Amino acid sequence: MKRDIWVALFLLGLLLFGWPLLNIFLESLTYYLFIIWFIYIGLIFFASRSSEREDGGG
Amino acid sequence: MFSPWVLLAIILGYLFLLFFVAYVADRKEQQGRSLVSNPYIYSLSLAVYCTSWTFYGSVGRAANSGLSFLTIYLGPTIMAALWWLVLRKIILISKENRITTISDFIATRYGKSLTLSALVTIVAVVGITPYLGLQLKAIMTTFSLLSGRHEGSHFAGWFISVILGVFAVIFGARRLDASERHGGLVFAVAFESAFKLVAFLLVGIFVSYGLFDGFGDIMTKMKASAYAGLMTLSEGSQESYSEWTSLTFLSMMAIMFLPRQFHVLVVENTSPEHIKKAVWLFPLYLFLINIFVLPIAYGGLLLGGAQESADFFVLSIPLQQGNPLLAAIVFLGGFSAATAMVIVESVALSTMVMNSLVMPALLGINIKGLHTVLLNIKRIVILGLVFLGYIFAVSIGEFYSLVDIGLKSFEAVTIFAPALLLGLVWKGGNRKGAIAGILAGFSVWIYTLLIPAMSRAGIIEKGGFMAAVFNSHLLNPTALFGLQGMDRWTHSLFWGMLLNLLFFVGISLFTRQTDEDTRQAIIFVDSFSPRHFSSTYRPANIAAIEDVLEQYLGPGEAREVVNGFLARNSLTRDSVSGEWLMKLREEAEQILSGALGPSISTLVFQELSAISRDESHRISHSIRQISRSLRLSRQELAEANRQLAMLKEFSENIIESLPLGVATLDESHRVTYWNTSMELITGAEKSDALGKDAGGLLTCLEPRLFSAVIKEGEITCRRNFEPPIILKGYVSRLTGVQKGYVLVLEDITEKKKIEEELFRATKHASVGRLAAGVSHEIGNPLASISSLVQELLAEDGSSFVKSSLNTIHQHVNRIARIVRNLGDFARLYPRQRVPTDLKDILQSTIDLVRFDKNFKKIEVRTDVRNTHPIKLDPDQMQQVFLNLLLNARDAMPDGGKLDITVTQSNNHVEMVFADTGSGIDTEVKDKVFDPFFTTKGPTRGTGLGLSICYSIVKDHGGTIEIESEKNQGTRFIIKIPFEV
Repeated sequence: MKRDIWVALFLLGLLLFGWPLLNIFLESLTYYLFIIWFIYIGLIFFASRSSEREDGGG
Repeated sequence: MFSPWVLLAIILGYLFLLFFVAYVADRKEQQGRSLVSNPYIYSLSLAVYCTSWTFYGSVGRAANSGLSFLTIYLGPTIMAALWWLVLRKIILISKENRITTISDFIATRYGKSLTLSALVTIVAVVGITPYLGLQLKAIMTTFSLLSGRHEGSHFAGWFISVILGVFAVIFGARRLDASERHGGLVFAVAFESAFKLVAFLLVGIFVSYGLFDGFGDIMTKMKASAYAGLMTLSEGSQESYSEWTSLTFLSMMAIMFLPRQFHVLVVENTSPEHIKKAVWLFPLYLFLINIFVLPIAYGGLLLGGAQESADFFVLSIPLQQGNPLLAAIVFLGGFSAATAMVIVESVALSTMVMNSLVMPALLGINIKGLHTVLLNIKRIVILGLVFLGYIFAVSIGEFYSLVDIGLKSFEAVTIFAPALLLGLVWKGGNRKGAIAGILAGFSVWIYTLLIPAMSRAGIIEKGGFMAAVFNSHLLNPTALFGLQGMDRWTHSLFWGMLLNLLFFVGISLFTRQTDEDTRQAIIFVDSFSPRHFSSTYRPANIAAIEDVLEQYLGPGEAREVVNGFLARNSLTRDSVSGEWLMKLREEAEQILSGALGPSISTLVFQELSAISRDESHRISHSIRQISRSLRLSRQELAEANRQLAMLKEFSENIIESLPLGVATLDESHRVTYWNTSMELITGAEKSDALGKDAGGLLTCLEPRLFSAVIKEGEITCRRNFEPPIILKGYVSRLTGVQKGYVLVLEDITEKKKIEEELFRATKHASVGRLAAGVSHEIGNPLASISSLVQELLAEDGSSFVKSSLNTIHQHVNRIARIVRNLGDFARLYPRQRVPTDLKDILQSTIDLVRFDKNFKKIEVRTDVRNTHPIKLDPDQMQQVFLNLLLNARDAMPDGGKLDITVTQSNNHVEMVFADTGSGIDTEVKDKVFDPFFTTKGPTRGTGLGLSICYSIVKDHGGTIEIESEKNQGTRFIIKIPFEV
């Protein structure tokens, strides 16, 4: 597993679910939060899958 | 509505199902066919995070505060991205050290401190027990709602508490387990997670699509309603963002440090590999269980529900809409959320209480059947914790909302974050710092959260001293040190974290670490394995170890552990050496650590020490010395590395700036280094050359350097369409560790040219001096002879005499011509040079030879551009042109073409005489400018013509070159500079 990918995802999460991005999408915050949340889980899924492939399954 | 007895029957039926599920999983586990050891059950078990707070409280918070309920689930989602780095390390350390609780983990990190372990346990019990009570309160409230009667709910709560306690005892404290892993319990929790998710989705679908026309319909109606403000964060308010951030941070910490989460994440983990799936499966679960929170909350409000009762919209909506079956399923969903939390939390907290509070109290007391006693105490602790929760639920629970108590427990466990997380990456943290930090954080938690809550609930009198405190500018618990404008969670978190970190870091920096502190710091920070460190305590024999194990694990398990160790290592009881005894002691300590906690197990085994305290002290001192030396060595090594890097850079700079081509080759002639000059000389780029065979790269060289035998010496490099360059090659063998060759190529083309010029000039000067002498010494007597012969011819004489005199006269003339030529060659002293038009000189010279009979066969073509007048000696230059024209004539006895071109460039005039004659052999080409060298035979040439041309041109500061090949004609190129 690549350490940097996980750290980058963590920092991305802090950015996506914090100020000031929330303020930008204030008008449609409900949709923003749920859509971005789902996409973020997808990113974690792909990062996990790629690391599993790197490690030879798992 | 349901009758209370029917509800109790439903609850019993569900609990029976839960018992059955756990029993089956336990049986399978014992048979070695684990249902639990897979990432899906692991991920589902993590959903014990979603308690009745999630099931009921999220809807309540969404109906009252809008979207901020999501922070509790977004925090864990973000934190999951770091699990592979942080959680994996915690799991590996815990497995290696048989750590079974968060208090043991923190205590083990800081020198296996009992005080620290006890402190963490007290914080956890105080912070979490109300939360435990609130789960029971949720069950009791929903029981009342569903039965429509308030009376009886306390009895139901008591009854359910007892059953849950028994369940926790059966599946969490059947024995003093060395690993504290409970397959049945975990499977039951995973089952409950799946059940509550399905129940919540069902009610969500019912509200969204049964009562409304989907999400869009609910959202549209909400926008048009008085509750539209709930669909966003309060606009423009900084407070809402600070609360959002604080709650996200709190939930990030809670998912790791709540005792039940630590239990399922770390203790119940069967393989760190399961984390890879859990990192996305668990956030996906959170996403799914939250997807209908807003539709239910908004739907409830739109249907006329009050915000105050929104906590139970999930249950009240199906009831009001006449769907009792769905209401019963929802009730069981909420029940499963609460029971899972109660069971796992009580088991986790009981282990903490046992390891940190009960065991230390019993240490040193000689109790018969200690194993059974300990097991029974643990069971009592579990039941006690559940009962404590029940007391809280029925006495003061009604003053608090689910969210309120939940967040207080989140704040409580966040106190552990600095000591735990920094302890994984910073070796400098020590026991005193950790204790001070946690104490500071806990004090702030009590002062800023608990006291105001107790005051609001009326437990603490609001008047008198408390009124003075609350009205104080500095000591107001809700605006400590005058800090206002923050919500209570952010306020408490800010002061708690600030003081916690200040004390932890500050005291760690200014106090000494104990030896045990240092040892554990290295284990936790540098590696996952503690096996780098052997214990200093050696027991006397196997029986001593077995006795200790028997005392705590029972005789059967103790014997099993010892026999297992002997069998694994092919040992018998009589053949165990001191070294093996130490290994058995270490293994036994680790096994006991699971049951007693690491601090106690270490203390227990210290009493078996075969080394004295003094010896132990000396060993510790030695370890400290070694650590210090290693630290110094590392610094020296880093400095040496730096110097080496500088030296390497310096050497490379020198080699790169050399005007010599330098390359290094390995034993098989492959290039390992190739400098910039080498690129210029050979035309091969460094990137292309590295790793290639040198012989293949240096194909331009003649002779080849790298053939069967490596050669060195003067070589010529011929590349397409470029003038050849002359190189001097040196090849020497590398000696030392790196075998191979160093190849140095020096471009000596210019040097060779200068050498040749010098040689030729020297030769000309010598011959010139000789010619001047000869011309003078022979010329004078020859003039006398010639005049005498002419006088004798005028006298009468016999025909023989006349004929002889004529012959003498002819030979004298021939000698005179040679002497005159020698005189011309010698007369190369500076003459007056005047600006001259080369075109005129050339034309007059051509006119001189035009009528020569042999020249008539030659076609002379001139291409003479207008040139600047050039300062030169016109007579000498005419002699040069004449010699070249006559040479061309002699080279073309049968006729041919002679092209004469005169062009001008920036600083010189170039004249080219190109004939189509017989040409000159390559071997003799370099000699044509030598005096007395001729290819025409002794009767036709003196061999001085081209020498004279060379001398004249050189005398004018110019150059003369020849290009010729046999039968391909000859080109003479003369360049005369404008200024000499």
